[in-house]
Amino acid sequence: MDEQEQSRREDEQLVARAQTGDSAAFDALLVKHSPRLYALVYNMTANHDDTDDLLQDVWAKVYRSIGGFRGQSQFYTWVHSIAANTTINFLKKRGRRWTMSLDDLDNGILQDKEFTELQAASTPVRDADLGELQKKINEAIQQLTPDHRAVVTMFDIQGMPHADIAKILRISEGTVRSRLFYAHKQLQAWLSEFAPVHSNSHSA
Amino acid sequence: MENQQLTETQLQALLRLKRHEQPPAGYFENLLDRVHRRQREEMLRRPAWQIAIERIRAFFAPLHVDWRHAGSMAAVLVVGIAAIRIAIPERVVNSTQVARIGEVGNLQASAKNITLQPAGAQQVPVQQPQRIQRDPSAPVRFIIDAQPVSYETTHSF
Repeated sequence: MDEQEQSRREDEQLVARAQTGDSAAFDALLVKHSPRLYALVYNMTANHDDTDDLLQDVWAKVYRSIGGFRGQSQFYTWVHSIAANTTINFLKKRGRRWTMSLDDLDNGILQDKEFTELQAASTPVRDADLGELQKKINEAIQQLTPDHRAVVTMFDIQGMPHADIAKILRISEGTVRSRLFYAHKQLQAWLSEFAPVHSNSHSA
Repeated sequence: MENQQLTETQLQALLRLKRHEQPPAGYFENLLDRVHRRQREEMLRRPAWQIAIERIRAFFAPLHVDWRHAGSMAAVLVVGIAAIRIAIPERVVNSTQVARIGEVGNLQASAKNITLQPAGAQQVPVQQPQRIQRDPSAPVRFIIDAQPVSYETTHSF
C-alpha cells in the first residue's frame, strides 16, 4: 500500500470517528492537514494574519459540515476545496486594500538545489537580497486574479497534479491548464528582471 | 546586455522558493487551541434551536438518514394525518345528516302519539317562567346565589 493510499484510509477512519462526535479524531485531522492548508491560503493572501483568520474559518466550516460529508470525494480534496473557495471569496472582497505580511524564509533555502542553480544561472538572483527576492515574487503573484493565484499556488508551489486541482476547484483539467498558461505568461513578464542576462552581440 | 524572459522551468523554480516561507515556530500547535476556543465561543453565541437541530442530526447520524428523504416522509406523514383529521369529522356529520333526513319524517309523525305520562294520569299544566317586573326608578340590586359548600351528603349518626 503506498503512502497516499495509507493517508486516504487514515483520513476515512478519522472522518468516521469525527462524525460520531469523537473530538480527538477531528483534532487529528486538523493537525494532519493544517500545514498544507496554511501553505495554500498563505501563498494566495501573502499575509500571515489573514491566513490565520481564514484557517480558523476553514476549520470552523469543516467542523460544522463534517457530519454531512459522505465521502464522495477524498477528505483531502474536500477540505482543500473549502479552503480555496473561502480564500478566493475573501480575496474578491478584500480587493486592492491589503498589505503584505510575509513569513520568514527558513534556512533550507540556502541548501535548496533549485535556488543554487538559479543563483548560478541568473546574475539578478545572485545579486538580489533574499528578502527582496521574496518580496518581488510575492508582489508578482498578488497581481494575478484570485482564480489564477489559486491554480499557481496549488500547481507550482504545492506541486499538486492537474487532476487534483480540477477536483478542488470544481473545474475541468483543461481550464486548469489554460489558467496556468495565462498566469505563467503574466508572471514571466512581471519577473523578467530575474531572467539570466545575456550579452547582446548587436549592441556591442 | 539584455534581460530575456524567464523560461517556464526558471519561473517554476523561482515560484517553488516560496515553499521556504514558513510560519513562526509553534504556530500549528497553537492553532489547535485557537480553533477550540473559537468553537466554544461559537457554541455560546448560537441560538438554542440551532443546537437542538444539531443534536437531533448527531443522534440520527449513525442511521445514515438522508435528510431529503426523511423530510419528504415527514411531509407525507403530516399530510396523511391532516387528511385523516379532515375525513373523520366529515363522516360523522354525514351519518347524522343521513339519520336526520331519514328519520325526520317518521319522528314528526310519531311525536304526536308519544305521551310521557302513565295512562290515567292527569295533565299537569306547564308553567311558563315569569319575568320579574322591576321598578325602573328603584336602585339596582345584585343578588349572589348562595353556593353549597359541598355536594356530599351529610352524615347523620
